[in-house]
Amino acid sequence: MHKEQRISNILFFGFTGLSLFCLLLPLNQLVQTARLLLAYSFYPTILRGHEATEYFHDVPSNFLNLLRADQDNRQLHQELKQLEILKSQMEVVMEENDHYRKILGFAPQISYTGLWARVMGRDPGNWFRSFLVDRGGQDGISSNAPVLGVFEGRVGLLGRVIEVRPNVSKVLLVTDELSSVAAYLKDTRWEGLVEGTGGTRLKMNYLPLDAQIQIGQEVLVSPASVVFPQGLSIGRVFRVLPQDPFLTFQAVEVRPVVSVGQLREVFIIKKH
Amino acid sequence: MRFIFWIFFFVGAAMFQWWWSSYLSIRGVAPQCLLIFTVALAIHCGPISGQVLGFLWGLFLDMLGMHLFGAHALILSWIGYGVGRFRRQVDVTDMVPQALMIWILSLTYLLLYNLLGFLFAREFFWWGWKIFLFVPFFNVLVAPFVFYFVGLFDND
Repeated sequence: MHKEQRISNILFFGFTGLSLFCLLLPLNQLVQTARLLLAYSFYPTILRGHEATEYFHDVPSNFLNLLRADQDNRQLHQELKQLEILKSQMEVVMEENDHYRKILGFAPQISYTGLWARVMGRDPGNWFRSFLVDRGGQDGISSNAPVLGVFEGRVGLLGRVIEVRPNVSKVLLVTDELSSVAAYLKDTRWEGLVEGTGGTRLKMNYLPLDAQIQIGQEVLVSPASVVFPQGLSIGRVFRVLPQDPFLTFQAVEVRPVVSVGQLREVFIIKKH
Repeated sequence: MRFIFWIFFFVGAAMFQWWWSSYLSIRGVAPQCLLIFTVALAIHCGPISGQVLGFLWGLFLDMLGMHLFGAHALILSWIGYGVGRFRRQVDVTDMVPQALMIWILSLTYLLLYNLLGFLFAREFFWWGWKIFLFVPFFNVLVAPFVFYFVGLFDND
């Protein structure tokens, strides 16, 4: 047997063994360490690559934006003066509101702030599972932070942060099979569980059999959700799935508000 | 010196795949450049190079995704080994066998990934008909350029 053939045979068994070890024991410490090592080695390169691509991509539009910015700047100065007056009025109203809230014993309102991040890398196998964004722990991003998207002027739930590195984070999309969100149908308050399918659509399960569901009905995040802010739009009912006689619930197919494929920027919520 | 060259080659190809699938893909469909690189490398440089770089590129793809860590590595190292072992039996200088081989390997890759998903995660990671039909076709179109590029480093 040739030397090359012998080495390639040894490598074949070695690599097969290593791969099977990773597949069989994904939570093993060694496998997790290897995964982290790869992430730490590649994320900086991906981040720089993304920055360079965005820089060149933005050059023509930046030039046009510069001209528009001057016009907008003048107009916004005028609006700012009016808004300053409105702001002072609003502060008085908010103080009043807080005061009455305390008197009536209402729960304190939870406010969210966040930051915009750019999509810099997608799962090469499937766009509807996860992607990387150019913000990380240094920007105050934490694990499980909800991620929103704006598509055609509508804000919708996109997913949550699942991995945080100093400058990069990985977002698990609601369309991934591992994702699930407690949700309800607007106006009816029928609750269910929205789950990813690995494709462009979502599936909402556990809806009562007597629920009257209409096509186009909005699906919102339920107050029962621990991770996501309640009332946030997830999508609209696209199709009522045929009822399974062995199940005590019905399911619908949901079209997400945000089209993942055309998204370049996302909004990550930072919880106070 | 040669080792440093291979490191650059590995990182360059990995970044090329990432860049194409992130910025140039058409509705989520992008060629599997790393698969073509593995095949081209196994043909031009032998099963050792094909396997080693295929395995490492696979780990890179596994790192980018969320599911089945090790599946891409396993498939690409198998492809690197298989193609390297039987490289003398295929005339890849001719476009037709080259295209046919890439098309078959692309389908094998997709099916094997689904099979591994079923075995190790108890579910098929079906990527949809769009990817199943168009990615192999896309791969066939890109393959001649990758083969030409890798041919520049031919050992034989």
